[in-house]
Order: sequence, then structure tokens, then C-alpha cells
Amino acid sequence: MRLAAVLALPVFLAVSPVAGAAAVDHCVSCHATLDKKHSVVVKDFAGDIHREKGLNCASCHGGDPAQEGPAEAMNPDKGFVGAPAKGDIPRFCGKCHSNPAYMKKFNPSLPVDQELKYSTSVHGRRLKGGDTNVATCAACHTAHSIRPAKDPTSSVYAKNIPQTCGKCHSDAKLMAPYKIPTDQVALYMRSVHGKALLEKGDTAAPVCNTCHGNHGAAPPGVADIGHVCGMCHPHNAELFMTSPMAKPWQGRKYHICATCHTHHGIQPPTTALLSQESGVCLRCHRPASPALRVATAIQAKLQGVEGMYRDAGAAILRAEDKGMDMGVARDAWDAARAAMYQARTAVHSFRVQTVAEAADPGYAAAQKARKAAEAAVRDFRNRRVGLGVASLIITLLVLALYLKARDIGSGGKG
Amino acid sequence: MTSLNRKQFLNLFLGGGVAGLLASIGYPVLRYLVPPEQAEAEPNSQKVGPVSDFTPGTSKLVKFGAKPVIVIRDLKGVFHALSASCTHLDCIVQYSKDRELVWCACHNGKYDLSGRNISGPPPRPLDPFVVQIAGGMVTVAKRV
Amino acid sequence: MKDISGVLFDWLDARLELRRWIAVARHKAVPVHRGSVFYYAGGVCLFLFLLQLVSGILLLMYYRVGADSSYESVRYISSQVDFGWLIRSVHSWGANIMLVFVFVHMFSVFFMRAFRKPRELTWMSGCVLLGVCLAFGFSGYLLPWNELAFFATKVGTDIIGQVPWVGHWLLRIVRGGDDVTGATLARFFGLHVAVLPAVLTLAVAAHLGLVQLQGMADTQEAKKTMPFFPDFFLRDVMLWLVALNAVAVLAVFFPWELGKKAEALASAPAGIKPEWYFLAQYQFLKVLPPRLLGLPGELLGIGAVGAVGVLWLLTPFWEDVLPRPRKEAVLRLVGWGGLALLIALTIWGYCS
Repeated sequence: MRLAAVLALPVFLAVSPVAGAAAVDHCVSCHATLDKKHSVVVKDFAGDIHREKGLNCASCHGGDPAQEGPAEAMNPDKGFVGAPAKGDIPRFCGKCHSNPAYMKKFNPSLPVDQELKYSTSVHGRRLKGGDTNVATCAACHTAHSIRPAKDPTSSVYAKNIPQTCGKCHSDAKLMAPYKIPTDQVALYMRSVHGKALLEKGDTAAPVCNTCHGNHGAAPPGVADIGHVCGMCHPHNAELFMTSPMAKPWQGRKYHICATCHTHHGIQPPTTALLSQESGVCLRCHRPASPALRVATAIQAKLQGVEGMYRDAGAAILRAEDKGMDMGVARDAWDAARAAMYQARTAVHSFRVQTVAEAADPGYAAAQKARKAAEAAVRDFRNRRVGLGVASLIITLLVLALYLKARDIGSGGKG
Repeated sequence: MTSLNRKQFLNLFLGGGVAGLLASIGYPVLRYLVPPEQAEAEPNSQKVGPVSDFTPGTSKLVKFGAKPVIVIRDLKGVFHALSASCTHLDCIVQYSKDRELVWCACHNGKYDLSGRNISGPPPRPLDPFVVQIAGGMVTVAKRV
Repeated sequence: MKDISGVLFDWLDARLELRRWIAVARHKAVPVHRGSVFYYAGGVCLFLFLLQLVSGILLLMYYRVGADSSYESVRYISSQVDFGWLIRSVHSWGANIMLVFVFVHMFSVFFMRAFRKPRELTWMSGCVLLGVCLAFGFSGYLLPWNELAFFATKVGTDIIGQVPWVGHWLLRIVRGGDDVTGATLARFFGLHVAVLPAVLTLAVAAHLGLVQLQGMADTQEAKKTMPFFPDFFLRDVMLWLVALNAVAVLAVFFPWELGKKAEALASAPAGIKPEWYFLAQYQFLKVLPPRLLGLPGELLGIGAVGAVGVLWLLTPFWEDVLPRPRKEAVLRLVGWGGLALLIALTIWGYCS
């Protein structure tokens, strides 16, 4: 381990701007020889964005890297502050990151309000109150291997965020005193958003910071959930807010969106949500109520278009399996899918008419696709039947010609 | 007597065979010559309606062959035609008159009127089409 | 007493001298022996050409030439037009089956030495027909403008550029530019539907006229003969019907694929090769070393292929000047050796 640090040293020195100046950086040269706890920082910092921009240990920690002895190099008179206490970390990083004039030198478009936002967050407020168990800058960004958020190796790159937040929030022992559940990351990974991000690689999919904020991290308030989800699902939010459900929910302070769809483990919605026996409506509405009748009617419309869409898809595959070209049928099927999505969105109006207006054209398009696919399969069979008939006719004709030829050959009239 | 009957039978057989052959060739050929409902393979240009149908600040969804296309006449009266299939997950986009842009309701993707993706999840711009106006008629054509 | 066919016959006879032609045809005799089954091969070629002509004209009703519309229109024909799939597959299969019979016919004529005096012109017009048929195949293959056709044409025309001095100029003429583009498509289309049919019609007329004039080569020595009309002719028609049926069966059970549309910037699919009737030459050129006898390998290859073609065309002439004792041996070597080499190269090309 010490060997690794020592071996890293020449690499570090070779690329360090300090080395270019032919001056040895004694922070690095000394720390590289220390035990793992004090030498790992040398290896980490090699890839750090701050080093890339030309900063060194002293830029944040103070002191004088040109001095060889520890007392001179880590001299408080030379500004050395050492490793900051947990509670001082935001101010330590904010020394530069909250200074617009300074930050402009490196990246004019980088925000400089992180420290401010952090102070409004749950983490920030608890830290001010003396709780050192909460996340600080280094907890999420790491202390010495910081990369820009868009860099895939960064601890705060979209795909890595669940893991970063989960370091604390999935730790049952750590979260016990706060009485916060620890299943969010697990639920998220199984959710439609988690799968979109981590399996399909769609970095537009929301992740922890999208809904909870980066530095001002706090759960959205009850009134806010609909707005947060509505950032990407505006139509659903809009329809809900103009539906008969909106006012009573706001009055009773129910969580909009999350009440039916849950917070972290959001699954692709199915018509089961509207089911008479086990749907979410039953949490508030009685089974035989007018509301449930609306739910059932909406469910029927959706099941209709979804069922026809599935049937059409299967029929198209059967036809393509037989080698038939299903280009036109697939176009109708695509139109049916678009209508299906619109119908699902229309559910949030909680009005049957609105859902029907979207679902009915989708049903018709899917039906058209299915008919075309079934016709193609019939055509496949008919071709063979037609060939059989034609072959029979040709065979008989050939036979007739043969007999005729033989007849003529034996002396008959031509 | 018998040979005559046989010969007549053979001629009939032959004639029937020839007729059958002509039918089994003629029937497909005749059916083939009748054009199908969708008369064109894939149009290079398509009429979408008279100019009077498009008041400024409105849009119309049309089918170009089998592809959905949105034809927009913005508040300044300029025509735009774009593929209406969102490049994120293929939802049908719509025109937002107030914000002078194209919007996808599924995940809030936004495009400007030349089709460039400006906000939200869409990874690519919308394919543009060419709009031609002649004799008061609006025609959409493929951009070559 | 006369039935309708008799009345019709008399009417036509009075105007076209049908009885005279039938008498001529009756006198024409076809030898009957072990190898005489090959006499039908030429007729089948003619029938298949007529099939191509009819199916081709039908395809023309819907086909639209152009880089933006060729593929789409072929897809439209195959999937939207009633029986379009049939017409298209008949045309594609018909072309291949016709070429098979062209080779059968050509080699059987060679083996029966039917190129000898006075049939030199028949043989040479036949060689012209072979060239025209190959040109038909090459030009028609590009017309669907699909991935396979695009790259096969690119690879096939690349070779033209290797011809010395005039290669680049020739390439630009064939391709209508430096690369295979919509211009190539337009050119090939014009060739396929206008130029080549005209040339072929003239060549076929000459070829058939000569055959009718001169009769079968071994008629004099034949021990047994059959009248051309109606005996041979009826059997000919029977075979044509069988060929028609075979093409139909192939069209139904092995419909011709379309695949993806050609994209100039896409990379060529692995193992791209021309159609089987060009595979032997292609494989030959492929396996030649880069340099041979101090000259570029491909150049020698093209030269060799060209020389073989010219020699084949002039067979009646060089064969005549061969010394008598060697003649049979040389011809047998050229014939069987050439056939074996072609088949071997084709199989090799197919497998690599």
C-alpha cells in the first residue's frame, strides 16, 4: 500500500504543474510516504478537477508546499488550516465556491449559491445545530477526487447519484435516530425512472436530486409534489388540477401524484390501479359509489385499447414471422400506441369522456393494424392454395399436350 | 367412333386446360393492374389544405405517407412543417402558440419552430419538411 | 361441317399463307437421340425471356426510379399491390432460372459442336445474347436500390476502374459519376428497360432466324427424326409450362427479399458478393496475387477474363484451324475443363 503511494508519486509529480516549475511539492512528496490513511489523498487528487485547473493542496488547506519540514510547510502563519471539522466544511469549500469573482476565472457559468442553498437544506440546518452525521460537501462530492457532474466517473454523475445518496440513506443504523426509511434507493432502482436511467441509460430520467434538489436537498413539501412531478409530466398535473379530485385533496393535504403512484418505487401504471377489487380508489371511495363507477368505466376504456394494441402486436409478429411485410400495419400500430399514452394521461382528468376521446381513435387504429396483420396471414395461406390450383391446371394442361403430342405422332391430324 | 370421341374429349381437355391457364395468369395480372387504396408508395410532396385553413397561431397534424407531420403557421404568419414524432419516446408533439414553440406532453420536451430540441429529454431535433405555397394551396414536401 | 377453329384458320390462311408456313415447319425435322433433350434449352430461354418481358412491363406500372423512390416503390409493389409480390418474385426468379438455362444451352451447343460452319453467326449472335443477358442481370439487380444491390454494384463496378488507360473514364460512364448514386440508378434503369430489350430483340431475331433457316446441326446424319411442328413444338410448350410452374413455386415458397434501403454512408455488410452468375469471375479476380509476372494482379485478371470471352466468341474460327488429330481433345478440354473451372470457382466464391 505504501508502495502504491510511492509509485503514484512520480506520476503525480510528472503531471503536476508544480513539477513543471521544477519546484517539488513537499505536501505530496511527504504524504506519499505516510501510512494509507494519509497517503491515499495523493492518489485520489491525481484525477481531481481542482488539480486539473492548476490548484494544489495549499489552495484549499493553506501552508507552503515549497517548505520541506512539516512545521514549516504546515505553518498556521502561512495560512495552514488542516483538515476542516465537519461543521466547517461548507464554509471551507464556500471560500471559493461562493465567490463569484473568483469562480469566474475558472468557469463563469458555474453557480455560486451552493453554500446558501445548503444552509436551507435538512442537511445544512442539522449541521448548524451540531449534528455531524449529516452529509456535507465532501460526503457527496468526495474530498479529493472531485469531478464535474457531467463526467461519468463523478460521484454526482446522474447514474452514480443513487449510490452516493444511498451511502447514508440506505444505512439502517445511520438513519435509525432520524426515523427515516431506508428503502428509497432499492425502490428507486426497481422503479420506471430507475430502470430508465440505469438500464436504458436515459440520463433525462429523474434521479434523487431532480426531485429533492442538489444542495438545498429537502423532500418536496406536500403542496409541492404535484409541481415537482409536473416538471416532466405537466399534462398529467394540469389535468389533475382541473379534475374533481384536486380541491378535496388540497383541502385534506393529500400527497398529489405520490398517493396513487408512490414516491420512490414508481411502476409503469396499469389498469389495476383502477380495479374495483384492489385499486387505489378504494382507499377513499366506497366500492359501489359513483366514483368507483367512473373508475370502472375508465378502466374498461383503457383495457379495451390496451388489449387491442397487444392483440395487434401479436398478430403483426405472426405475420412477420411468415415473411410478410407489415410496414403499413406497424404505422397504424404506432399511432395506436401514441393514442394509448394519451389515454393513460387523460385518466388524470377522472372524466370518462376525456379518456374516451383519446382511447377510441387508438382502439380503431389498433384494430386496423390487427386486421391488416390477419389479412396478411390469410394471404400467406391463400398464396399456397392459389399455387396449388394453378399447378394443378398446368399439370393437366401438360398432360393434355402430351397426349395430344402422342396422338399426333401416331399419325393423327395436326 | 371411339377415336373421334377420344379426340373430341382430348381437344376439350386441351381447351379447358388452356382456358384454365389463361385464367390463372390473367386473374393475378388483372388484379395487379388495379391500383390499391393507398395509391402512392411514399409521396415526395403532399397537399395539406388551403392557406385560409391556417390562421396565424394555429397548427394541423397531417399524415405524410404514413408519418405524422405537424404543420404550423406561427403568429407572424410564417409556415413551418416538422415531424410530429417526438425524438424521445415517439409521442405526438403539439404547437404552443403562447410560447411559440413545439411541445411534447409526455415528458415536457420542447423544440423551437425549426425543430431544434431546446429543453427536456428529447435527444435530437425534429426532422424538418419543406412548405410550399402555390395558388393558395399549402403543400408539404420532403427536404432533400 | 367446319367448326369455329376451322373457319378462323381459313380466314387467317387466306391472308397470312398459314398453310405454307405449316408445310415448311412440317418439313423441318429435329433429330432424336440421347442428347436431343438439350434442344429444348434454347426454347426455354426464349420463353423465360418473354416471361421477364411481361413481368417487367407489369413492374413498370408501379416502379419509380430514383434514390428517393426506387426502394419505396418496390416495397409498395411487394406489400401493397395485389399480387405484386408474385410479379416481383417471378421477375427475380425468372432472371436467375433463365441464366441457368442460357448456360445449359450454350454449353450443350458447344459440346454438340453446333458452332461449326455454317453456324458461326448463330454462335456469335448467341454470345452477344449471353452478354446482353448478363448486362440485364447486372443492371436489374440494382433497381430495388437496397443495401445488398448497392454494395454488390459498387464492388462489381470497382473492377471496371482497373482496366488500363480507359478504366477511370469507363467507370465514370458506367456509374454516371465517381460513385454509385441515383445517377447510376437512372442509367441502369434506362439500360434495363430500353436499350437492352432493343438489342436483345434484334439479336434474338437474328439468332432464331438463323436457326430456323439452318435447322439443327446433326439433322443429316440423324438416324431418327421428329417433325418440328407439331411434335417438337408441343413438347417445347410442355416444357415451357413446367418452367412457368417452377418459377411460380419458387416465387411462392422463396419470395425474393428486399432487406434494407441502400445507404451510401453505411458500411458494407460482411461477405458482400455479386450474384452467382458473376461469382466465378469475381472469385478469380479476388484470389489473384497483387503482382504477377511484374504486372498488377487485377489487371492480368481482367485481361484474362476478357481474352477468354473473345476466344469463346471466336470458337468457330480458331477451332477450324486446329490440326485434325488434336481437335477433339482440345475441344473436350476447353469444354469440360472450362465448365468444371466455372463451377468450381462459383462454389468457391459462394463459400468464402
